[in-house]
Amino acid sequence: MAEALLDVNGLTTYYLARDAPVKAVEDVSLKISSNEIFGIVGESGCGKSTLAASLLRLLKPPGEIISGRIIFDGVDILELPLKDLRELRWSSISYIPQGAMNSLDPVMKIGDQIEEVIKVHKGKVPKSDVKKRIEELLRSVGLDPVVVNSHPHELSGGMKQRAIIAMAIALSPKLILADEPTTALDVVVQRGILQLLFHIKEQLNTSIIQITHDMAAQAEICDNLAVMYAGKIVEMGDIRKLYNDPLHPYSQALISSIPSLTEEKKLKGLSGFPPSLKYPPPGCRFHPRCPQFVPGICDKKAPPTIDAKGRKVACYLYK
Amino acid sequence: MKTNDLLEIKSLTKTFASRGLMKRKEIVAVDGVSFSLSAEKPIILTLAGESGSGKTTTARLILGFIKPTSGKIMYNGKDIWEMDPTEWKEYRREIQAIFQDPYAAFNPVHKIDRALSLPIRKFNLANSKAEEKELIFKALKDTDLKADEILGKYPHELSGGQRQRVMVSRAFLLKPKVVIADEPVSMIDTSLRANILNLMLELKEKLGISFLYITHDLSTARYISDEILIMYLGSIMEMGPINEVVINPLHPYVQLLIHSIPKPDPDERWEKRIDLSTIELDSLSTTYGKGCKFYPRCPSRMEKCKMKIPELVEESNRRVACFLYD
Amino acid sequence: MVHAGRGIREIFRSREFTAGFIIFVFLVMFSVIGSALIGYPPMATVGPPNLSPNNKYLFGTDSFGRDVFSQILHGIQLSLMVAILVSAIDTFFGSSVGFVAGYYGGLVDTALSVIVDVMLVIPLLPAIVLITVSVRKVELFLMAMILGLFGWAAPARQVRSQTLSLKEREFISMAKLSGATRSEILFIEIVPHMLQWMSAHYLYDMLWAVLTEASVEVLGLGPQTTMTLGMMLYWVIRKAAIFRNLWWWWTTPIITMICLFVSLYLMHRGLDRIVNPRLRGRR
Repeated sequence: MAEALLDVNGLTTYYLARDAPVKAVEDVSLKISSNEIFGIVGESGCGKSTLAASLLRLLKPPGEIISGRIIFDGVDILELPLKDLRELRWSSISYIPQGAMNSLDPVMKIGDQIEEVIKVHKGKVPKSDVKKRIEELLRSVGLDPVVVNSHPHELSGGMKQRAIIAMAIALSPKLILADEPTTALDVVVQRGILQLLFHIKEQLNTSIIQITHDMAAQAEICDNLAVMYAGKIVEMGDIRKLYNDPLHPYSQALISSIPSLTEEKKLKGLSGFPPSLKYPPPGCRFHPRCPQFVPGICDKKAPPTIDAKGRKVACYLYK
Repeated sequence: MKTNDLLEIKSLTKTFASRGLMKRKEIVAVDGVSFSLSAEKPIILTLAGESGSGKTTTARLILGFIKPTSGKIMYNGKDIWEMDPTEWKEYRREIQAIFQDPYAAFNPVHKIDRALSLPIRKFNLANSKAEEKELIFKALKDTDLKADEILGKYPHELSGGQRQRVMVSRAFLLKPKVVIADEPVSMIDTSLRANILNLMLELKEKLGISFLYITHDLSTARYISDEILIMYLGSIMEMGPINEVVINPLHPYVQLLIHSIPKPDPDERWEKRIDLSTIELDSLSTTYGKGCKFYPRCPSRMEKCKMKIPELVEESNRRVACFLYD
Repeated sequence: MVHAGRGIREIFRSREFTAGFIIFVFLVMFSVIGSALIGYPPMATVGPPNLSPNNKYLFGTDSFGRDVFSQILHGIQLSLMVAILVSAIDTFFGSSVGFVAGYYGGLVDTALSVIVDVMLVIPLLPAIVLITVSVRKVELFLMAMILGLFGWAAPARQVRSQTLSLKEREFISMAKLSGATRSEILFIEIVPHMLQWMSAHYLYDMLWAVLTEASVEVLGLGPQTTMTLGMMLYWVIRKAAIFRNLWWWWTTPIITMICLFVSLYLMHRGLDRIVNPRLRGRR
């Protein structure tokens, strides 16, 4: 078992408020190796974006990491002084937040924006080297190097997202966090971006964490998957095993609610609505909507995460 | 051109003039689109396409929010822009909509009850306050909502899923003939989509309501529709029974689309890597020249495709606009 | 229909608004009660001129022998009356024009927009100078009218653009599909949406009115027979009060005006904070 690239242990992040904190991420643990695409899937309000921001300490107040350890390549991120943390960002771990393509600076040329990323983190580099590197980067994401002189509004959504990915790989990081990298893109473009991410993992030996609610997007490129619900990871493991034999009732509901293009299947949705994270239900946070709810057990204490059938599950159905 | 068509769209065209600083650019959002919804039995017809395909503009034209540049929208044989006030009011009542954004569909200044009580009052669906209340309660129950959790609240006090269900309740309440559903589930959580989709199927089966389902998500389209119409840059590329189009697409664009849809099955992944440059061409060129609109990206293009726009021809139980089949 | 009760509670939760409101109420009470207690009108010559503050005249007297304290009290009321009147004209008339132009569009919009744009371009001060010079005697009411004339174009513009964008929102489409008529949509869906903005603007306009009125008066274009706070300063300058060290006469109106500005500003800021996040769309 290779040494984990990223080892998260008991991470808990809350958004502090006057009355009660929003328990966005509760006791999350996961391990990611090098050369792996890890998916975190969950619906609105499950805490996946908060989890991503926590990993690089990019939380906006009132968000605060309450407890846990995040060990990246042997270094505890939570203990790092700010200066070292800033160096870590972009050069070891890069982050593509949700809607990044709309946050490109509208008045700067694409080439200049990529250059800025390189300069800020690598310091003084000879101009010709930087130019060459930028061209190389653009080509690797399938963009014609002439794009260097274009402004964001001249590019399509897919092209902008590829420029963002070029920035993300500019310093050859070991890990990329991509939050909803293909949402709001057309289907054909989405395929291009997903395949690009896969290609990056293969060629550059970079691990990627893909965070999205789109189960199909996860299925196409991920090796392992973690399913989040109401701030907790309810099931995690090899993606094939998870899809073919989901253990947690929420995973089962999620998978049976995905419509198929080719099969005839009756879709069943979940009843109820996601819980408030300020006052989450006692015990297992999924119990109010769980078709296999057992009163007296599921609503008393939160289920521990155990190993079952080669995966991790947090459900009393399994021992 | 049957006379018992509920809704008939004839060569519908809508052009927008964008007033640039120097030149006036004309965007043909909808280009000579024709199709119909039969009155014989309820049907769910999907209008599919990606961004820029013109599907949303088509919806707005059918709902009468914008006027067509040319072409006709016929309801029960009458052009909607030639209707008198009574006929128009009837049209308003019988063609309803479900919108994509549950946050934008309700006025934050009013309680959500108004979305249900206003149409009752305006269309005279109830004879008394008590009857009105009863109708509202029943409509909410039909979509599995508890009246005491919904009524009296302002939109921002409810979740997106709840709001979307209230929009569907509205359809149950009004019992229209046609519902234009514009991306009704794309902003809803995956696990809750099935509920809304199943409700739409129920509306069709129990109340005989036809749907025009507008989406870019072909998987949900396949789940509920009978027929599909795929648009690209304002024109129809292929139309026919959904199972056939999806399983065996004829038009090169539709083939590309179908094959690009991610499959939720990790054992069946894409094999071929898509050439990203073809996507670039699409966005940078707006050549509304003489030929087929898909010409710049088409892997099977021929000389004649550049010269003339292909018409819809019959082929294998559907209609395709492609010279490969002409 | 509009959730007014809930809204008022929320408004007072804003510390800025509450602070401004307290100062405002204090000023109003102070001036109303105070001026009622004083027997004589503010323009009356009551005693020897240039008296520094003493037991009889709390703020002393000016160079005409008038009670400064009394003038301050009345001045507050006058400034507020003008401000309320001007703001009412500007906000309601301006908003109405904005709604009609934005909602009905077409020729109506074009015509109204031309008028609005013209009004916005005309420079305030030279125009006021021209008007006051041609009208021999300037009265306070006339001043209010003139200020109202120059203030309505800005809210008209803003309301028009807000209406234009609201028109495209999906809840308007929903209302149309529910059978609402054009007027119903304007008055029941769009206007209530804007009421909060309009109230915030009302306060902003009051601030603008107080400031502009005072500036115009200090320059000598104001009503000579009424003693507003601005006119006090005008006379202060005419009589070289600062050089003569008649500090009670020139500091008091300035401090009073600052208090007035601050209270209106805080209230406006407080309301504005509440209005803006809503316009951006709350979840």
